[in-house]
Amino acid sequence: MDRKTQEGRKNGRVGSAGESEARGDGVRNDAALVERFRGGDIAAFDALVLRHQEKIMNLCFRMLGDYEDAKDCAQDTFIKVYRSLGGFRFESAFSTWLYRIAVNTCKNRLASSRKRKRLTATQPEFADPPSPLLTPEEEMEKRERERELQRAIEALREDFRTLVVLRDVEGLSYEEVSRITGLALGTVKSKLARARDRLRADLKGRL
Amino acid sequence: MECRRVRSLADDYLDGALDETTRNRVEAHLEECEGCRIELDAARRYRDAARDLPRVKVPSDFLAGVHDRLDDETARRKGWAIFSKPLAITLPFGVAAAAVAAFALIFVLDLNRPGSVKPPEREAALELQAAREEKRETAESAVRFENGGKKSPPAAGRAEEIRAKSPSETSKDRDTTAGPGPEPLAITLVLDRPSPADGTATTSAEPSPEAGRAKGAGTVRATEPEPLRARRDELASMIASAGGRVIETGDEGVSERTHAEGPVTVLAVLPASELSGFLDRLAELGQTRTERAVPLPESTNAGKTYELRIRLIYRPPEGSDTR
Repeated sequence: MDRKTQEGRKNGRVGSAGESEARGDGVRNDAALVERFRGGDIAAFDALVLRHQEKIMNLCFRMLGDYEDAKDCAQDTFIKVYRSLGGFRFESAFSTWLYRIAVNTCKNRLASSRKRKRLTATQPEFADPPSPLLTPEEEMEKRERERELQRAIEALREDFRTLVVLRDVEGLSYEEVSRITGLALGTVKSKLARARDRLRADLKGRL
Repeated sequence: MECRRVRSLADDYLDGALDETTRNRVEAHLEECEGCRIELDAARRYRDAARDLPRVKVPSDFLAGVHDRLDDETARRKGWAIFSKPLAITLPFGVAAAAVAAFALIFVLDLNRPGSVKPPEREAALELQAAREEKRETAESAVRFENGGKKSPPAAGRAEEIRAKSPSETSKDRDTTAGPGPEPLAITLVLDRPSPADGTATTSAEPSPEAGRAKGAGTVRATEPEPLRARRDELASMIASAGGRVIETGDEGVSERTHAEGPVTVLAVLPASELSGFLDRLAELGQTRTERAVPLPESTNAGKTYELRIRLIYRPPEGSDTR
């Protein structure tokens, strides 16, 4: 049975069968906004930011593990988009192009942050309130497991981390991950398998 | 199906990417194999945990921050554009032409201002003129020096003649040599051999009328300009090897004006650092006298030059016969 159809996706994540039509609409909407922006409608750029800011902000946070760095990188991503949108030729979907810019911006930030490391990471503000079904202790344990997983993702090497975040956290299809990263589909799958093995070994008994 | 094969298909199984036949075979194996069930459960827990990671909230000022940074970036680019834009484009042609004319006028006025920087050609012409004027002064000061040193009546008489000039005439002469810099250092080199080639006086040279008067006076018993010129050339090469240069040499006209012995003179400039060594080498050629104390080659003189006015005089040793 297809788990994608059974589980559905949370807000902001993509990939469920029910969302494919919405994604198709989204692609068309993105293209229309891009054309409007090129025609001089600056508000169309704001619409593009509002449509994608949640996904880009979360991608950056999972890549970097620091809320302020994630905010900076996400804003950098949209500034680069603003500067480059005139040359965008629709050879890929706008969202694919946007993700690619965001991933590269995060990689640059990771390279520079190796030189100047923050002493303590800035903590995020989460979108979802605590579940009413969980006791405070259970809620605390859940948060601790999430922090463990985030630390394990951050411990992965950069290419593994990118694939895990795009596929397992953000829920993008293998094909889209392949387009964003420029890796062959088989390479994406084999690298992801190795990354998951490493994560499972790292988190053994803690999930 | 083997465990190894089932575990390699675990991701595709969880992704729902297996065809029905393969999926049925995997599930049949999982019902029988506890180890593979544990592995698959671990993989599923990881997947669920990754997919359920909480979403971070987008800051409320996110879009405003993007706008602010775009504005800042645009302002910075405009700021640089002011500097990078060619001046000719921003200035009307008339304004640019007026500016060029004003700069040219200021430059010309500045050249004519005393003490201003001169172009090399103009500087060289001024230097030559000053050298010519100082050449006349050389003869006068050299005569004064000789008279003071030897107290010879005829020389003293010539000195008196110079001193007897009207004040206005003397000051006029001084004015012609007055310059912004210090007076050249006057050096008199008294040679007992006129030529470096031989050890005796050159007899072929005819003494000039001025030389005859000098001989009769007894202070400078003989001057022989032609052989002294050979010494002058030697002196010039010494100056050059010390890093200096000869500005002008002369042996004519000097005596006509001052009625001196027709000395050979050399006006030269020398690096301050070389002055002491040069004077030592000069002393090897003959007796030297300097008009004033020789400045020490201090470190503060590094890069400076001294102007020298060297006067060559031939005086044979006592008791020798020059003729």
